[in-house]
Amino acid sequence: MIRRLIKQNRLFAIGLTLCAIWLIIAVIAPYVVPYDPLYQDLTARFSSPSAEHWFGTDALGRDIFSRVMTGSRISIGAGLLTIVFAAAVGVIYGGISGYAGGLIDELMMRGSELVQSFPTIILAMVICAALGPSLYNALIAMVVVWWPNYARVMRSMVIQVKSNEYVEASKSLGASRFRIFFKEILPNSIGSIVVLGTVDFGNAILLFAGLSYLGLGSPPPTPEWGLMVSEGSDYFQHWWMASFPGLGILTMSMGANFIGDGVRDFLDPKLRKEL
Amino acid sequence: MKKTLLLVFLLLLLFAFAACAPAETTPPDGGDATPESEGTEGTEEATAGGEKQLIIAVNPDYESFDPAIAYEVYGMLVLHACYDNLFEFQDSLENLALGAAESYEVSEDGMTYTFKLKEGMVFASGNPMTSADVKWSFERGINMKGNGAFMGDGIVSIETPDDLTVVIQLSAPDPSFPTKLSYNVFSIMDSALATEHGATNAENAAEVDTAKTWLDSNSAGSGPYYIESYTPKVEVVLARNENYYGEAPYYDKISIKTVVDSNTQVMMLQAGDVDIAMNVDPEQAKSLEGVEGIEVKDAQSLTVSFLLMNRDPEVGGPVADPTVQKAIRLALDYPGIQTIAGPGMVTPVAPFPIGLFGSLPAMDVSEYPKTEEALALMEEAGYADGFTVDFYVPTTIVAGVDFSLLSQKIQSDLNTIGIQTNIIPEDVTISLETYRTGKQPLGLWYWNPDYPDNNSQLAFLPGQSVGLRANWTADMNPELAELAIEAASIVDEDAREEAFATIQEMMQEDTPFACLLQHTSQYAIDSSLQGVEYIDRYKFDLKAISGE
Amino acid sequence: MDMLKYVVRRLFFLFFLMIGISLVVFLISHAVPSDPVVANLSQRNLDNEEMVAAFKEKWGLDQPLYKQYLIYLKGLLQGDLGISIRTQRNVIDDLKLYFPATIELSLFGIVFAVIFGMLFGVISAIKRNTVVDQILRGVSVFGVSVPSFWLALILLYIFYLVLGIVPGPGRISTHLAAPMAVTGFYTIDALIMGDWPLFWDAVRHLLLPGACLGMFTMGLITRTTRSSLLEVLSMDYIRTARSKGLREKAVIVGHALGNALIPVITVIGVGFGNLLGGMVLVETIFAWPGIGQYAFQAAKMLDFPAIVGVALLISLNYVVLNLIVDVLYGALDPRVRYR
Repeated sequence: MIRRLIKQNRLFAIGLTLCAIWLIIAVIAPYVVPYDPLYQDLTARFSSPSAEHWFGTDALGRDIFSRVMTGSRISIGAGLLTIVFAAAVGVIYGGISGYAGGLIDELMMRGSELVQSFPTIILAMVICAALGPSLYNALIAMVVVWWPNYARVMRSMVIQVKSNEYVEASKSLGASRFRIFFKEILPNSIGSIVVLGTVDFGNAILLFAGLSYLGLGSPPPTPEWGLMVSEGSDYFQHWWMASFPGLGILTMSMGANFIGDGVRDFLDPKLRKEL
Repeated sequence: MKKTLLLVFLLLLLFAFAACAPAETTPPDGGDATPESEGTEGTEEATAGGEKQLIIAVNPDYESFDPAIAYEVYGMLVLHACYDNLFEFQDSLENLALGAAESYEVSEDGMTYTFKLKEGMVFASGNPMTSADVKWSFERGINMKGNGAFMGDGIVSIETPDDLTVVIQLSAPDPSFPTKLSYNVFSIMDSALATEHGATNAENAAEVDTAKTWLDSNSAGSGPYYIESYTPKVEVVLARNENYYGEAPYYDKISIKTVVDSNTQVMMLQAGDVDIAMNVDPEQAKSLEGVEGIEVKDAQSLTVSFLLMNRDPEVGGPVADPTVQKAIRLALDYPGIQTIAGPGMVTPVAPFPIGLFGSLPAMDVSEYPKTEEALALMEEAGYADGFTVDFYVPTTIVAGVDFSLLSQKIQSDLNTIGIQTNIIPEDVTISLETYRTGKQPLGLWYWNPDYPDNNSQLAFLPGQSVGLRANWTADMNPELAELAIEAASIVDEDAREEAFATIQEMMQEDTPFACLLQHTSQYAIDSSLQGVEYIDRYKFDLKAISGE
Repeated sequence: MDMLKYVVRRLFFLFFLMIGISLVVFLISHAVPSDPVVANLSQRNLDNEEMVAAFKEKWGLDQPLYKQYLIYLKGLLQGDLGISIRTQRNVIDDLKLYFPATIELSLFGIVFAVIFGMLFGVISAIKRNTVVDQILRGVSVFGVSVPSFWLALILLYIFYLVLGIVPGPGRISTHLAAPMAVTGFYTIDALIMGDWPLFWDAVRHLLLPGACLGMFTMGLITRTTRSSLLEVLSMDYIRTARSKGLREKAVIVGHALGNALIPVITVIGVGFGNLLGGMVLVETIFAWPGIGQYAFQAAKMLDFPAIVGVALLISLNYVVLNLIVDVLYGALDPRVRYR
């Protein structure tokens, strides 16, 4: 499938390349970057990009190239973790809701709509502010605002699968609800969830960068892209400070979205609407 | 057909917004005239004629222009232009001069102040200013229980034997009393006008006074300007008070624009959109050097930032050890810290800012960091292998210095003597809670004197309010604790100077604070402006600024 | 009648939604150990226990949690959003002050997004699998991928600082005075006053923040327009139209476009939600005195009445807008049934 996609869609190939590059960087960054991303050299503050410092240095004389490269680990990690946890919460929630049906279903769906009708970043902001800024709290906030989509998809999948004959059959054979859920419904729905996760990844990175920009992500001195843009935005004349971490966010998120677009196009129109 | 439908839809969408947005926000009481609508009508007239207007870009913190309530750093920028006080600073913090008062006398015991008001003083409204207005304003200032009300704590009674005489009785001699009187809680208000809008000086004023809303977008003073309009987060417009008793100020209007971002302020100044950019950070100041038509100036503030090290072992752990605290003070790279903070920074030896009566000269930082000595002290304290501690940092920018940046520098300095820190950034307002209750093992904080007198700084001594935030109790240094109480009421200048010198010398040996910086910030002006002088209390004395 | 029932049910749900939102925000903002109100006192007064107690009493913080909420709810049902702890003004007044600025900007953003999104989407679909298509799809992905706060900085740097062809942050230039507040939309108010220079100035100030804000939605709309137009183009009736010998342009404009744009309407609803979220970031950079900045300040200080006020207002808009979209969608597409 992937091979066919690459052939058909050049943008998908670009996306795949971008993501692969970032993934490799994230893995090897700590071993290959020229400087310790936390090392301060006050004599080299605000150096513009040069052979010594490819992306220049920041207000404390830290090497921005090393910081951007190392920062990829946090962005990728945060994006992935958010998607995984949000999917897990959504699958369980949507699964129960769809499976139970009736009043419970109705109530649970209204509950998820409640979360969805909140403006995402404001809810995340309030949660972060209340819990205090840290990477974990930012992740919690992201998961809290992120799961309803998965719940909705899972629920409709469950309802679809539930009415299929083979589930009816296993039900009449006396299999427990639990068993049916894990043996029949989950494997049948997981494909759509994975697709949704792929399509979503770019957005997750963006939201995380936004929170981090507002100072609600990891505390300093962590090299986090959003935070670095925010630090750099205080120094317009030193354009490199904000530009490079921003490019990091842009390229990674674009890569993810190219892949997401490709996957979306590949799906049949029916499923596309669900997403 | 479908296209028409789409068009209709789009129009509907537009309409839905235009219609429903204001509807939702209509207040339940049917919506009376809001201050901002009055205000904008006012400014519209302003641009009609070719009047002289000064435009200042500021990142302000003010939330109110009620003299009894305002306590924010930038409040006085507006209030000093609109109200007169019995005392005021002229040109600099060293020159405390008479304001609305013609003369004053202090009784021998230092507890009775008798003021004579200038004759013929008139408020902007045309009402004459009398001693009754002074009494009324002071009582309101105290009874409103605002953040500045404590300054009236020593006042026992206020009497007005005649229209121009005010007699104030204190409970104890207070050498800082005249300074306190320059503060906006003692601004003289037009009591008749203010009462019309719901103000009262009654003892329960805090509950029953309803004038705040009106006072936020109007003023009731006798200063050179009056508040013409205030649109929160946008601008304050001041207009010349034609009834002002002194020399008429140069500008017809002054617009103080809220521009949060300092980059933007500088851009606007360069584009000629504003005349003064108040908040310029050091790096931008550098880039403005040599730019024609723009002058960068230093603003020496009294704000001191410091590192708090808790004395309570249960809170601070290893940090609570006085030897460790001494080691930390030695390990800090003060020259580096000053470099980050920008030009003009000094480091006081103790939390007594340079420029106030009784402060010792600044620290000679060239020898620092004294890492070797610090390491020796760490070993002596039994922490040769170092330790890890939480480091609370409020997310704020103090006079152009980003605390987040500063904390990262300190983190790296402490690293050199084996102390690992976890930076915990919190919004100032959230962090204040653990700070004031003494629960921060290590904290980065700042202090702006409530009034420009070193009495205000005695709070840093053992058993006093700020000292207790580090759990530095009186019994940890009884001698200093005793001195703190004594020094507050010494009236004789020489004795006072000596007492403060002793305190500062003792605090270099034993204190849970490491003074980092006394802040100097930069602002930039259109170089054709005259009379722009920074006075920390007011920021600028607006009436002194002119375009010629 | 299905539709009417649906609308009534949604509106009924809306009521509970509002209560739910207030409860959620209330719980979150009171879950922290610190007192936001105490934090609003000056450093010196923090040590004055009497002052602290008086303040807590004033704001009802000395009451048990459930009572605090009930008091708030009672006010809410009477249309009183309470007083902001930070600004000490009525939250309703604050919202009234800041909301028009936000709506003006987001409408501009939406218009930007719709115009360019549809244009790019249609071109992209017509030129399917050509270089033009690839480029426009790249632009669309750029739109949904670029962090708005970063784009804002870059655009400001290039267009304002370096090129100087657009005005800087703010709603109007500093030498101009705000128009009389009729609608609170500076552009419309300027028109009402017949002040053309002011109108033009206000429009110019909308350009950069509007583009930053609309970028994400533009990307979404491009994508949806393209894929739904392609879908429609592959349908039987289009083939019939083509086989009848109609010119390609006529086929697309006359037959396909109308149907293809129906799904786009849904995206506009979603996009608007995103837009309001993006407000927080964009307003801060462009010094736009709107709800986004207000919300950020309120959230940082856990100013509960203000946060709930903003959340209610935005959710209300979001829900109502989506309701309108749903209804329109149903009216346009007979296949949709209301559940």
